[in-house]
Amino acid sequence: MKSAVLVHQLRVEVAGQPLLRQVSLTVEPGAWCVVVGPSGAGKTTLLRAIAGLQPLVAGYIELDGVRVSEGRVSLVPPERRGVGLLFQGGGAGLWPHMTAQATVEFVLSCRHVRRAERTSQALRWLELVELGPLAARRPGELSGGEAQRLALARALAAEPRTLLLDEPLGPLDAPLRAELVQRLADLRRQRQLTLLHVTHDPGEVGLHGTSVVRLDHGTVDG
Amino acid sequence: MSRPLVLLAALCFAVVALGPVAAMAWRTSGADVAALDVARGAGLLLRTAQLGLGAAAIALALGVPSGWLVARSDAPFTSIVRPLLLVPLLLPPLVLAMACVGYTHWRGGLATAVIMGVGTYPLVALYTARAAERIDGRRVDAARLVGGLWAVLRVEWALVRSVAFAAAAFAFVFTVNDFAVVDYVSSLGPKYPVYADDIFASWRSGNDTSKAVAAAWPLVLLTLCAVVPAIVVLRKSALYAFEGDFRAPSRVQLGPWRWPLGLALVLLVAATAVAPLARLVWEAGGGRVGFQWSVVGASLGKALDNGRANLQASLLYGLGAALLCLPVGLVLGHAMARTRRFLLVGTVLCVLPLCVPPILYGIGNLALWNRASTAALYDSGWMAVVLEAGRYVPLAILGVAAATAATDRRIEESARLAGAGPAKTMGRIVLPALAGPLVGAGTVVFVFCVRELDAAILVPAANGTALFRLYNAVHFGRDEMVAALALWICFFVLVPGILWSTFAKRRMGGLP
Repeated sequence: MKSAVLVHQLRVEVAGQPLLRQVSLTVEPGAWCVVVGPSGAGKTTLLRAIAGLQPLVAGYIELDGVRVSEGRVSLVPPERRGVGLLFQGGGAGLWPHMTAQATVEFVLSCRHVRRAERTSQALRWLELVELGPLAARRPGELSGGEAQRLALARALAAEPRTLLLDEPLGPLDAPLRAELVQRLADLRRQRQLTLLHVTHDPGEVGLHGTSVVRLDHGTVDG
Repeated sequence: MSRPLVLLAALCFAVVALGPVAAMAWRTSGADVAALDVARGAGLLLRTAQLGLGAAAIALALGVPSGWLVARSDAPFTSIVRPLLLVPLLLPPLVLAMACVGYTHWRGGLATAVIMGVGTYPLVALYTARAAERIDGRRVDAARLVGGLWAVLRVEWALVRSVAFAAAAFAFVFTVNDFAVVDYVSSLGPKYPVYADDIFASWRSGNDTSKAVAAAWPLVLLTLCAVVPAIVVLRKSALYAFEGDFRAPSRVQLGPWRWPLGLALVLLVAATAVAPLARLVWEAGGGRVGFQWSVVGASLGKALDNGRANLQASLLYGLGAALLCLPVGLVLGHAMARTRRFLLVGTVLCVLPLCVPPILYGIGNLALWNRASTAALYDSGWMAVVLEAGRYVPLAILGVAAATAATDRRIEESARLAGAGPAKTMGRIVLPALAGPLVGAGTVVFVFCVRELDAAILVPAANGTALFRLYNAVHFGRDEMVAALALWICFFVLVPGILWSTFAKRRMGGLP
């Protein structure tokens, strides 16, 4: 079976400084892989490289058996890689001028969903994360947990095969953490999603992860 | 910030900057307002508004793409183009007008709209660039993931458009209040009367201040209708910028469009920044009679000899005004950003001297200072310094306020907690943190003072400036010496202006 994510001998540099060095990683379809490492280990860079948002210097990345990046060349643009990304910082990256509904509708318009169907589909995605009643609110009017759920709905509306989670539990308190973890576990099971979750907190490893990778100073430990 | 210091700065601002505006309001007579020719005034106001809208549309059309490309794209040459984009804004509009009427046969409203649009598009570009650079990188990445370049453009346009329109509103304001450009262009072709002309004419007919002020109020109201919404929009848009955990966006890859759009940028700068200067050099070198580089050198030398006193006056007045504006700008700008009370009213009051018709502001200065008790000031060069400082101190205040808002409040709070008093906090913490933007604000004030013309026309003490001499000279024909004098003025506004551009760029790099 083809791996959902295959990272081979990845090297990423920013301003001449190596952020990732010879990183290799395999995630099987439907797995929940947790990458643990301290701040500055290169976790976010790894996710951005997989999503196509960060150019590589060397190595290659395959998603579902398709090579998407090789060396300095990006073979598949970010929007066609079939990945969603939940950014670090709660609702960070949400578009401040759009309501929750408009945010999801925007994603649907990018997927060329017909205008007449966008509203009903958007509301379905929002219901899925229990944001239906807050569809008319903008990100600034949402709490941290609600904003995180909107970010999740936005990522899911693009129907990704792999969901990249950048410290998704960091800004949430204990009950919200448990709720989000349960929601992600359900989604993974229902939609056969592959999850690649990076965190600095070793306590998150045992939550639902099926595999664990340790990243430190830009290299995979062990 | 020490309260007495803020009150002192506010008092200085009230007297020097708002005093002339208040003096104008005080002089308004009900009889003169009743005697206004409403039909004629309405026609002139409509024509003026059309001119302003034309210039704002040109500024928007040129400013938005150029600002976005230099700030956010991987187009080539952006590091060279970015500072050069400011050149048309720094050049005196009269110099742009000299180039435009030299290159083209355009006259009247079309020429004026093009000149003012080209002169103000850098403002739109600057605001667009700053707004685009303040979009959190994760928002851009999220758009890119769901829809590629097209989705990125849609999201970014939605986030910068209000700021771009606000900047275009300022382009509108500067155009509808301009007098010298319309006057010059009209002197070469068909008469194109606008509202500022009418104010000047009302004043000239028997030096009747009251009649001129009464005639000016509709234009002031039109200006406020554009300025107040623009300020509200700029305040709201700042909220997008100053969220804690900011991640700078990476530059957008244009792919096959990279080189064509880079070349388009270079062409834009060549047409709007280099071509006006090239025209002046050509004229200074003999122009149609036969261009020679040796003549350029001779003309520059002659212009320097003949206009030395005027150039010195311009530089001294500009320097004096900048030095006066800096302490007031520092104290009020910092207080404005930190207290955030009465911010909208405060901002509108702050920009009022800059946005009322300059002709009217000059009349206000006459009304305020031309009296026996202040005769010593009125008859001296200090009058020009006071006039220019009053008109341009808003630039210093707003510049410092923007820089303060972008600086972490906690650096001051920790100093206060460590036992530093307001003065020490200001001197040891705030001042070093704002040194770059402060120098930048002082430079902007200096440049705008050197290129000030409309308000200076009416105040005798300010009639000795180089730009006033140029204004008189172009009405009596153009020769090598006139072009050379214009080149000297451009030199003195461009050199510090480009330096300011460097400071502004550094400040943007330090955004949270």
